[in-house]
Amino acid sequence: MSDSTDPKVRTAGGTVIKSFEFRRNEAEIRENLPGVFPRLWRFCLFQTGRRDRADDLAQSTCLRALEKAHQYSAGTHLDRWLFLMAKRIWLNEVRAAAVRSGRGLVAIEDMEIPDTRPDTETNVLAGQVLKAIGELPEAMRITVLMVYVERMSYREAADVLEIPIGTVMSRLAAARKRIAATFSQEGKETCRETAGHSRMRS
Amino acid sequence: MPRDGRSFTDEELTAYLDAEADDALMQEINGALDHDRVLGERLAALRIPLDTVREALAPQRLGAPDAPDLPWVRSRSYGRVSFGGVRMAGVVAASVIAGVILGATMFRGLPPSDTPAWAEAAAAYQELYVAETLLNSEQSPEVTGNVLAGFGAAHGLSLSGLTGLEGVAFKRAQILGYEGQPLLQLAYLAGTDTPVSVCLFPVDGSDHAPQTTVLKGLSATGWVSRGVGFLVIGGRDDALTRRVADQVIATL
Repeated sequence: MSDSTDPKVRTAGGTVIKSFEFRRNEAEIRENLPGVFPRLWRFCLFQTGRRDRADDLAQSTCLRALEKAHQYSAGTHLDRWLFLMAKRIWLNEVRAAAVRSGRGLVAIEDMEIPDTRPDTETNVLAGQVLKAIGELPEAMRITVLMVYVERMSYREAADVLEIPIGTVMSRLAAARKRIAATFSQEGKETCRETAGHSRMRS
Repeated sequence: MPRDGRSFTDEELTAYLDAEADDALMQEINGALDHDRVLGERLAALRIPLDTVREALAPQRLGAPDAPDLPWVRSRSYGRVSFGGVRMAGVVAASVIAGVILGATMFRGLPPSDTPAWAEAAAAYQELYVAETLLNSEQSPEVTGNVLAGFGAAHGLSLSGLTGLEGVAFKRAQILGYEGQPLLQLAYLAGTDTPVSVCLFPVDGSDHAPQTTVLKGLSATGWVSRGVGFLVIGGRDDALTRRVADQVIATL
């Protein structure tokens, strides 16, 4: 991202910044954020387990992204950068405050899900899915989101979540067991998963 | 049991299902599946309906809001930026968001680095507050009344209502000094652990509506009315300082 030929300015505080690069990165963030934001919000929802906190965390992440635009590598994965930032904000700031204030974490399954589809059977299954995932521990839940919904590789998920790849594997294995256990045999038969070849990388 | 005695872990089987296993492991498992019925059952016990998972968790299905309008950052040296505590609820109130510019621009028209010095000083003072600062702080109504009446009389304000704000417990009022001028601080406790202060200081310049930002890591909502600068500061919840600010305005 750095380029020694970039114009530099010296602020009153003495900090050297690369204003051109900052501008370019900020522009790219602004341009791509609308497309990424719904997924960022979903990440925040999974991280926090509550819609209101997801709103706050997604907002905070956007603002922090603008502040830290100089750290963004233009042309790379904005989504992963934002996910990592949201995770850090949540763990370092928001969650601690929420716990301190006595407002405990609420499972995602308690969230009211808009029913936008007429297919009742499908909705029931989707509801089961959401409930099963919502009942997972926070760390497991977010790993499921990264790998199975965001379609990240184990390595990519490990990088975003800042955990060893082995931890990703163990979380997914445990999550799969728990989720699968909640489904009826009938539900399993509707699965369209094909072992070993189901996940198409984005 | 597998004929060669090899037992696969759940992690390995999960990697197989996720197409993350290396070629050797894939071949091992594929080979074992030809004769190991238990292994097939274990794999079945790990299968989940991924397509349904993805459908169920589509952002639009979860009711994800659209991206908010973002304030412009002129330089990283300007520090934190803020939406002014506006909470998105499905659809962002763009007209409100658009009015919020940069982190420290709680006084409209001024760049963030020009946040009034008195407000910076008040923020630095507030930064030192912890719950214990106020937990056992008691002030007699008479003393409180005298402090508020004195400052209020000098600026044409009736401040007695500020001791009864909702959502925060009033603790004390005191006159501090900044650049030789009195700075009124009313201290409150939100919940059991969040000190919040309402500060008033005489200022020049025109009135402007409340703007919320972050000062010294604390949520802060500031505005100017009839020659008095107001600052509500404390905690990290923008909604809280905004609510208190709204009450102060309504009270006055």
